[in-house]
Amino acid sequence: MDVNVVIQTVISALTSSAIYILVALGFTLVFGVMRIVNFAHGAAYTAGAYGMFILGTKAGLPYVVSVIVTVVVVALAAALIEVALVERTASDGLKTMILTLGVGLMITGAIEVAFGASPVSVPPVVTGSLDIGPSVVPKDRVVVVICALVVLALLWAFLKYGKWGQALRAVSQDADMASAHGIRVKWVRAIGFGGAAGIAALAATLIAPVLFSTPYIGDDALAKSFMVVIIGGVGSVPGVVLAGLLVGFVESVTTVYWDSSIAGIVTFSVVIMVLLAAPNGLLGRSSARV
Amino acid sequence: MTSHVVDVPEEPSIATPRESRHGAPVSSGGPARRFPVLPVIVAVLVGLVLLAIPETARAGYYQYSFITASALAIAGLGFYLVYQVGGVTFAQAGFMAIGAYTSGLLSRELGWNVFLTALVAIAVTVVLGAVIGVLITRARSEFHFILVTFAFSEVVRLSLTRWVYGADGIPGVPSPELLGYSFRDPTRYYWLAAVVLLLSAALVWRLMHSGLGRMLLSVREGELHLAPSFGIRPETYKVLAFAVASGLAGLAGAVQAHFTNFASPDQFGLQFSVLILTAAVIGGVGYIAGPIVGALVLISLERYLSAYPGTSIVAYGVVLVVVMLLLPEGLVGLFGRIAGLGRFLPNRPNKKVERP
Amino acid sequence: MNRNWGRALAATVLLSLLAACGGDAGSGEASVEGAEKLPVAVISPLSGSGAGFGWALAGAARIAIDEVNAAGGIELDGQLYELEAKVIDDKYTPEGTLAAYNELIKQEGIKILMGPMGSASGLAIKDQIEADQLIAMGNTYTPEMITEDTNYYFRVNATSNEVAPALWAGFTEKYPDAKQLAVIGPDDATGKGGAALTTKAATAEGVETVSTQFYERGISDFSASVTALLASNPDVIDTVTSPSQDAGLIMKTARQRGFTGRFMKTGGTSPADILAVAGPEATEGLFFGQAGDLSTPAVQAYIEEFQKLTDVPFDSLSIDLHDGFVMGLEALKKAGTLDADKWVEEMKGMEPFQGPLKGELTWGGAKTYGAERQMLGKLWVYEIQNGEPTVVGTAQEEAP
Repeated sequence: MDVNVVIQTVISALTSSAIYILVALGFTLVFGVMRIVNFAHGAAYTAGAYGMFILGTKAGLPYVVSVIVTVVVVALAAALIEVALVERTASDGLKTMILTLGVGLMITGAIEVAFGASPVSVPPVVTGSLDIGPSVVPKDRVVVVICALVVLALLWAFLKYGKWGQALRAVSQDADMASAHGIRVKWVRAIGFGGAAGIAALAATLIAPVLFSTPYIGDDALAKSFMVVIIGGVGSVPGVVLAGLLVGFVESVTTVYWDSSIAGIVTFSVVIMVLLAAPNGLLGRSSARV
Repeated sequence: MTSHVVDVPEEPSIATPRESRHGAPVSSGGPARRFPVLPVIVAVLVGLVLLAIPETARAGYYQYSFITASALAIAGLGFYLVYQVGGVTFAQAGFMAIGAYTSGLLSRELGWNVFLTALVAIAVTVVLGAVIGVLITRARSEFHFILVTFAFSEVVRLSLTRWVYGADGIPGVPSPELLGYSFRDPTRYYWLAAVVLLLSAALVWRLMHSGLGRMLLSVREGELHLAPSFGIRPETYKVLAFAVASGLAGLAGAVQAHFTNFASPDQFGLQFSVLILTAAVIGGVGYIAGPIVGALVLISLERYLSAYPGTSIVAYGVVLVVVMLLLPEGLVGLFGRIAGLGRFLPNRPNKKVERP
Repeated sequence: MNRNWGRALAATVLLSLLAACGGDAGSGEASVEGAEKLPVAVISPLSGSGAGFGWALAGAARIAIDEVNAAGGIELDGQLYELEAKVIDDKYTPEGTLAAYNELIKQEGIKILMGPMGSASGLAIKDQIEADQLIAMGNTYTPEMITEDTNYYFRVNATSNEVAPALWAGFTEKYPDAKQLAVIGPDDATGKGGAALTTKAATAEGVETVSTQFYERGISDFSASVTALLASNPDVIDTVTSPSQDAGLIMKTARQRGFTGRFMKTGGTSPADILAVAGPEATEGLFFGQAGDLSTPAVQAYIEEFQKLTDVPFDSLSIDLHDGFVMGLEALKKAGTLDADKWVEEMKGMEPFQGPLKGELTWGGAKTYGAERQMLGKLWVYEIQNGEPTVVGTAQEEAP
């Protein structure tokens, strides 16, 4: 067992997991608050990556500035879309899901028309590598993992202690009850939707300097969110974290020791198995919640 | 679980008939017993149009579009069926792939007659659909159902890529032939596809207007108290609907593969499932004619936009958003209402989905 | 009720418009006085992941056609014709290619085909090209595109088969210490074909293949695949037929892991794309081939013409294709008629042909493939030095 290979595999896995967890969190947030599958989630991710491209590569703004502006713009745009469009169909779950699908397609398509299908790059944040034991590990991935951890911690704190965070949780549990307590559910929905898009965009901004971006990265992000949320259990934050790690590690390990096309099959099969054996996911709440 | 069954709003939602109220069962026997005036008129009109097309200047173009749309429509009919029992299925793409590969490989490798291999494909997908259906009805909510069916399609796609001929697919899938009469010519295939589509629609229509159909509707509306009187559990009906839908998808896969003489896993990914959903929604997901009309519109749109690369995705998005906001019952619903023929439409739309 | 009528009207109008219209493809620029139009089908990916390769073909086709028209058109059977490019984007998928083929060849009855691009696309219409007796020239990487019964299709680009042995010979001469090869490519026909070919060529030069990895098309994070690759301690990594951006990212990732060995690319390469993704340090020393010398005035002028047609980065593949199309159209002129059999005779007799950008061109492939339908010419061997693609030698493409 080559230690170097193990370390590299772990780093790959952690990087992927970090991104999956963040994106899936946004996804499950929308589901909790609005009880819909948000098909536009992938588009928010893509928008985040291209936001970085516009600001970081084309306009040459510093990384942190680009991140903040991108995330805020995407979140606000999403909240606006929610208020303008999604609210209109909010009473019908299926309609809303299809609406988000349409919105997602519009955004993804617009990005493709505007920027073309060829990959674009974002300037790296850090370059170089550091030595961890026998391994040479790229610094940029380590930075991604650390940033993701920080964001995760902040989100957790927000949900637990923040005023709007608690409102989000209240609405997830029981919208009528929350309304009865004076929480303005409509606002919460807008914030939830916008916030979710912002988190997805943030995840994209973290990883964009490391890989290259195309208009199609959102599809993959969406698919991964699906998987992580099923495996982890809808509505459960620890579940998302656990499932995100699981998916990231399964992918990394199967690719390194076997080959990459098997990785996809294995992951999806795990999804199906989890669903059959534990329909609420590994840490999902009881059926009353779902 | 708090269930939000919202009162019928002013504006018809995606699947609410104007006149029904919550709790009222779908009228039994009504449409089934009356002579289907409108369907016959429509069928005649449609028949005339179909006859005319091969004579027009751009016959080939229309025929090609129609055949592609038929395959989509047949899969869409399956989508409609599953929707009737309360699920939004993303599994149609996966079953289409299985159907295309089964029929394609058997006819290509073993030289069996295409009509036979298509039947085998249908049989395989129906059985597989029943098995998967049994497992899937454990899904706790619509959300789960969507995700599991999506996972299924992806597993199929990836498995085919990995273990059967790879990402580039199978070239050289034979065209159908019966007693020396070859259907390779687009005009001939066009008629074949039209017949298959109409038969599929008729099958679904008959299904929905039988006792079975009424049973499916009551399952969807959650009126389980009717179930014991039939002696069968509601879950069985869901599985049945799913199995038939899978068979339709398998058929659709065969129709497409034997026309293009080709099948590959990439044809049947998430994009395709979205296409089926879009077609059903545009046409009107509560109507049998919905997926058919929707498929025709969608394929026309796509071919029109193929001259402008990249725009078709935006167009689909716009169409979906517009339809959801302004035409919730889809085109069939809209035209049907205008003509005041709501009652005559092939199948009455159902109650809205109960939000979990 | 009024609202419904309004909507219905709008919907009907829209639907009728859609039904009546068909997608019309772009066409060429030049015009010839008094000539009839002769359509040429150009089927190639113009969007999506294959756009780089696709525009190499579409651009070459359009420019070659414009050149013929500017020189006065083509006379066939006593009638003067102006060529018109009918371009359809096949989205780099076989079904897209089939749809385009159906529309242009089957429905509109076009007899001349430039394309397709892509192995899967090519295989999907291979039999039909022969059955329909087209005048066909295209770019498909897979060896299976040319078989004994291939008559009407001429491949006007070099594949790994022709290029890999020459590159390896040059490489081992310059870097004799590199003894272990790791190969990585996409998990499809082109990738697998490319991997097999490079292994064969490397073995012939005494280099052992210690690892071969395939990645699923469409993924953007190669770190796990690179880990697997590096685990075998290679001296040189070949990214074969991976799209150039993927190759760039693979190289960048490998360097970040401390890989100090060399890089090679025996498949199609767009150095601009690779540099854009990976930067000069990671790509230093990349050893690859190009179909032409990018620094000559003729090629520079061609690149300029190309860039008037599209923003998509120039891929030197276009150089092969342009000269091949020029040769094909020249053969058509000589045949003087639209008869495909006559054209095939002329085409075969064109060698040696002086391609405007590449120089001497001949045909080969009788033994390798079963039919002499492979264009052969000179290969320019390049290495990236200090962020600049630099010519380090030339070789002759070979396919006995």
